Formats: sequence, structure tokens, C-alpha cells
Amino acid sequence: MNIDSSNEKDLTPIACQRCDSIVDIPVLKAGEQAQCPTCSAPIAVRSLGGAGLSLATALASLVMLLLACRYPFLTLGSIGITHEISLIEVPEILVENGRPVIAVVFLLLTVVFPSILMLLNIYLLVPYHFAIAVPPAAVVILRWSHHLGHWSMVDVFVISILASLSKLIGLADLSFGVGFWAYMLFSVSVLVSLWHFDRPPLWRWIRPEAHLHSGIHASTTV
Amino acid sequence: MNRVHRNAWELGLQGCHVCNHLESLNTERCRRCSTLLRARKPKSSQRALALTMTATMLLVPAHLFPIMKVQRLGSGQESTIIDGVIVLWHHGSYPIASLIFMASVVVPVWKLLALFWLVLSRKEITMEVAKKQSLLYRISHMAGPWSMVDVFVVAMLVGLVQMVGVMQIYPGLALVSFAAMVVTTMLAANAFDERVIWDRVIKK
Repeated sequence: MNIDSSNEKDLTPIACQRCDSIVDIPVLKAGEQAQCPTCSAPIAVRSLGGAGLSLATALASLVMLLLACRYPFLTLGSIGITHEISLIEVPEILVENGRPVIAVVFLLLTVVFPSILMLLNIYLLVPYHFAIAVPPAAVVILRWSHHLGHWSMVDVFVISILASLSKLIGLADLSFGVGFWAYMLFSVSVLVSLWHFDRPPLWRWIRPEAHLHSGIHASTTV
Repeated sequence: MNRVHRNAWELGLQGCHVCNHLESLNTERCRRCSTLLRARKPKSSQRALALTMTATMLLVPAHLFPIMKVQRLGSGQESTIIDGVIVLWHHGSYPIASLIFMASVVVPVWKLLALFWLVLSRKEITMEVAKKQSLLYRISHMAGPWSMVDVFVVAMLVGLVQMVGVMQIYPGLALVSFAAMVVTTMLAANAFDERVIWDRVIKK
């Protein structure tokens, strides 16, 4: 659901990241999205589930990732030979085959970045959700959570897994292990968690004073 | 929507690119998230252009060298990205063939062309054109990570198909250049400042 500048105004106007025009963000209801009136880019989103859902799915995702790394991913059988592999062995094999760069890129984008992102979000969401004091280094953590977002590629990886499996189906007998299903659940949890992770309220919670002394009033804008 | 386009720059303001907090132009660091503030990303066009050119050069070895080698019962066969797509097409896996073709040929080439065009255009534009260019940039920015599909597919195939003596898959040199191409294209898109498009809009 889209709304333009409505009657209700948030405390602070923002500059649209896309086109630099000054916009007053209306107070959003859960599940609503505000668009920039100039360039129609989404400028503010309020998720339906909120911090609670984001925290729950982030915690679930870490459990799933542990299972995905611990248990076999896939068993491959062809002419009597079976070969079992777990996700964490994939980068090892890439290194053995002389492609350490790919192994590092693979590990960072599919496992390391998403799991660090989830840890950072949990670190902030626990005190936020249960209304405890702001944890130390919250500013740095939230900033890094913003930067990592673009480099965690669980969704791309899931599509790649499905594409590579469909290539293999004709060549060998496949049976999925616990690790495979765990990674699928991991990726779904990460996506749901990120979808419901709203940054603006967290910034307001971490640094409420920045709003009071900003000296910029909505009335100067439109 | 006939409202006047008033940007932050003209009002002596700038928005923090991390937390969206609004500050005056002479503020050095954002008071909310301590990010170093820049009204526009420094040297955004030069950096974006350099990275786009690097990515274009990397695209050549990515398509010329073999991306993987399949060793089956003693006989090895090397294939490039395009070979892989053709083989898949002949086997009748049309969706997968199209996916790989889109992710490894259409999207990267289209994205690089879009970046070149956006970085190099200098002339003043109207609001409508700015909207279109902005949308083009946003789509190419979002499509960036999806080019990684090909790299992940080959990485998974190499990892999964390791039946010594029966069938093994080895990663080729093109895999490295392709991954490097995707990463540099993403960096190029990040280096480009979208607000530069809107700065070129003719003020009435």
C-alpha cells in the first residue's frame, strides 16, 4: 500500500537517497510503505511482523545454519558408487582444485556475511525488543548491518542450488540430506528476518537526542 | 504529481546515506550514526567509470576461457559459459538454460551498458527522463547479485560431483574472471551516485 505525504507527519523530514528531494515521512501503519513523491522510490517501510518476528527468525536461521554445516547436504550415486558431501566441504574442494578465490567468495557470500548480519541484528534486536538499555557500540553495529545487507546472497544461492541440482538429476541419483533442508530453512529465515528488520525505529532508539537538536523543521520544506 | 522538486542541496542540507538523518551541508559527521557525510559521493563518476571499464575487460576472459571441465570415465571435456547454455538447451532444460543465459550474458552486458550510459551522460534532462534513468539505475543495482548464479552453480557442481574415477568436475579460469566481473560491477554501481542524475534536471 502506498501513501504520499499524508496529514500525519513524522518528527523529522529526510532527504530521499535517490533524488535528494526533501520529504516528510508520514506515520506508517504496520505493512505500509511510503514512496518519494518525486522519484517514487520507497523511502520508508514499516514491516508487518516487527522486531519480534525479525528476532525470532534471525535466531532460527543461526540454528538452521549450524545444522546445514554439520549434516550431509546431498548424496550422489552413480554406477554403484555413492558420494556424500556437506556444504562446508564445497569450499575445501574448490581450494584443492586450485580456486581459493572462488572458495573465499563462495564462503563469504553464502555463509559468512549472512550469518554475521544475523548476529549483528540479534545483538540489537534483543535489547530493543525487550526494552533494555542500548548496548555498547550499537551505532557501529547498525551501520555495518546496513553495509552487509547488499552482500549477503542467500536468495541467489538457493536459486543456484536448484539450478545445479537440475543439471545433476539426469547424471546421477540424488538424495537430499538434513543439511540441504536446513540450508533452505536458513535462507527463508534470513529473508523473513531482513524483510521485517526496520532500521529507522532502531536509529531513533539508539540516538533519540539527534532528533531533538537537529534544528531542521518540517515546515521549512514543503 | 506537480510538486516542485526541492532538493536538500539547494536548502543547504544533506541526508546521511547510511541512516537517512538530515544534516546541514557543513556538518562533517552524521550526529546519529557517525558516518562521514558527503553531499554527493566523492568522484562518483570517475570511480564508477573506472570500475565499469574493469568489469567490461573481465567479461572477455570470462567468456573465452572454459568455466569448467567435466571428466567422465577418463575423457575430459572443457566448456565455456556459452557451451554450457547450448548443451542445456539441447538437453531440453529450457528454463535452466534461459536462467544461466540471462544471468551470465544478458544481465551483465545490459548492466554494463546502462552504467556506461548513466556515468557518461552530462546533458540536462527533464523530470520524465530523470525518472526513467533513475529506474534503470535501480534495476541494474538490484540485478547485480543475481549474476552470481553462474559462479554458485559451478561451485556447487564442482563440490558435489567428486566421484573419483567415474565423474569429476573441475573449475575453470573463467570462473575467477566472471566472479571478479560481478563483484566489480556491483562496486561500480555502488560508487555511482544516483542523485547526480537528478542534479541534471532542468530547473524551471
